[in-house]
Amino acid sequence: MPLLLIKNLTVDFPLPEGTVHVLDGVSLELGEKERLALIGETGSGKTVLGHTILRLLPPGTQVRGEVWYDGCNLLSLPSTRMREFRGKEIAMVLQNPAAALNPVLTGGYQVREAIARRWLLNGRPVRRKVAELLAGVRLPERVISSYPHQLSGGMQQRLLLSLGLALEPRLLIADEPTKQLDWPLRAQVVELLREMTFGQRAFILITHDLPAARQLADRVAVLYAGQVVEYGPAEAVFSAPRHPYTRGLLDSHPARGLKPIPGAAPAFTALPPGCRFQPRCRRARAICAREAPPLAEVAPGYRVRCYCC
Amino acid sequence: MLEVRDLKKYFRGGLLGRRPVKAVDGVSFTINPGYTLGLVGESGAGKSTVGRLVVGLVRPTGGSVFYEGRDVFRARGEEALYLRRKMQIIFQNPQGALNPRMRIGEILSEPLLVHHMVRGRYVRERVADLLEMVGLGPEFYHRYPWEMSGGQNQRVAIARALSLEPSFLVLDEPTSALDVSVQAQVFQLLKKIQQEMRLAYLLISHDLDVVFRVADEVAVMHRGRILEQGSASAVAVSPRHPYTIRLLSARIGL
Repeated sequence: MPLLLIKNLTVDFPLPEGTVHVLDGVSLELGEKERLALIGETGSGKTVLGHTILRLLPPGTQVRGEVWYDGCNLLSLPSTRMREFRGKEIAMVLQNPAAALNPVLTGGYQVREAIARRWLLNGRPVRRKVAELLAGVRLPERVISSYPHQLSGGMQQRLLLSLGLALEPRLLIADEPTKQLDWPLRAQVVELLREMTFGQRAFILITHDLPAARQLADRVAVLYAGQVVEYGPAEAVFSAPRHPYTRGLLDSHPARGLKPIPGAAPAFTALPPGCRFQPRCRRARAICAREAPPLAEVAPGYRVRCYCC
Repeated sequence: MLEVRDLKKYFRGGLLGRRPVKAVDGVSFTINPGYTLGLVGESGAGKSTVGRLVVGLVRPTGGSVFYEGRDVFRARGEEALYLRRKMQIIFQNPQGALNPRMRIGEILSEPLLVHHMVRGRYVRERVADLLEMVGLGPEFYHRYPWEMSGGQNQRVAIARALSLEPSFLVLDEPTSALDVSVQAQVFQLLKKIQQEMRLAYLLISHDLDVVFRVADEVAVMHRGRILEQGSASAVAVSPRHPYTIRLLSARIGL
């Protein structure tokens, strides 16, 4: 059994306009020390998926399906048991470090607080562990006594990463860790993530930084409007994408031509009939607007949700 | 058309302002109609300060900017008004650049009225034209910025800049807050407008993939200075300055 097995996950947000399915029948699996990139645009459900695994969704959200982690269905655990998983087994590096870090606590305090969740260390051992963690993410010692606003964006991102790694989780989830970083900083963070995950632990990278995803992932799941539309080995997906949306997404990257996909992603309150990408798809046929395509296996371990490929 | 000479901007820094921060330290370049100059560099290199200086949003410590032969920093009265119309800037975060209490229609009407671009009764018509020009339907007239996506907001910001019939636009990281596919759409729009109106662009970005794709010429900035400048293809293929080479080595291929 894989380390993480997500089966037919559906997440509904009740809105005044009606209930919307933010995730719709998502199934994924992740082996021990395997690295998965979740790519897709804003609003495709990437972050919600990360939050669902750790059960960080706001109250009132309806979640159906199963999230098996190491033989335990996280969705049916009592919340007290769930706390034992957060940070120690599964840790998440949240989006936007400036907002995720506590502005009135020093870097050192925040790292110590994270460590204290697992080890009851005091005095010198704590200081040693904090220094070790900061050095691991290439942060200078002065960060211990610095407040987040005194750090650059890249340093904040690394501090946040050190909090995620503090309890040595078996599964690390990072949400847009390279967002808004310039090239040299991004390269640093990508290298750091590679070091911290490759052969070390399972990793889910939530991102729309396609080059970073290609660097860091063994497998890729492409999300569109709350559904997985393509799921396969990273090399295959990036070098020969099959789903028209994945192709469009890659072609719109400046390194691949900056060619836009016409139209915009649908709102969850106004999904088109049949395939959700069909109104923007150049290869759409009559059946695409009539029936929703299934996520079909096109090769072992490679699934695509499309009638045309 | 646009000539920037030895531009400098020092901010007060250090104890008692004794150690000035040289954000921009002797920058010169020219841009011609219909062309795009890409200004690249790391965060903190001074790129955005150059953009703000050029359109006169920040007072310089030294140097000059000439637009169609007019001195941007010395212009007063009619001439200043003319320059403010002709030189526009698009910011990184469109949400922050649009007043959340105004509807899109009002946001686009305001500059038309302030600069007497069209007679009062034609304003509405002109706003509809502008919306169409940036690919938004007339239904957006009554929307608020916070009801719209980042890409749509950036289109509104572009429409607002175009409302004054400018000939030069500073694009300060115009797509770094947007998704890749939306980014491609925004650049497609900017390219189309540039061709139709022969606009000159100063494109500020840290994404060299974008700049090489969009700009004709590239200037690499570091610590307030331009270290290398050349045609986009030349800089992309054979960078000369060690700093440019280092910057390019941070590229992650796709």
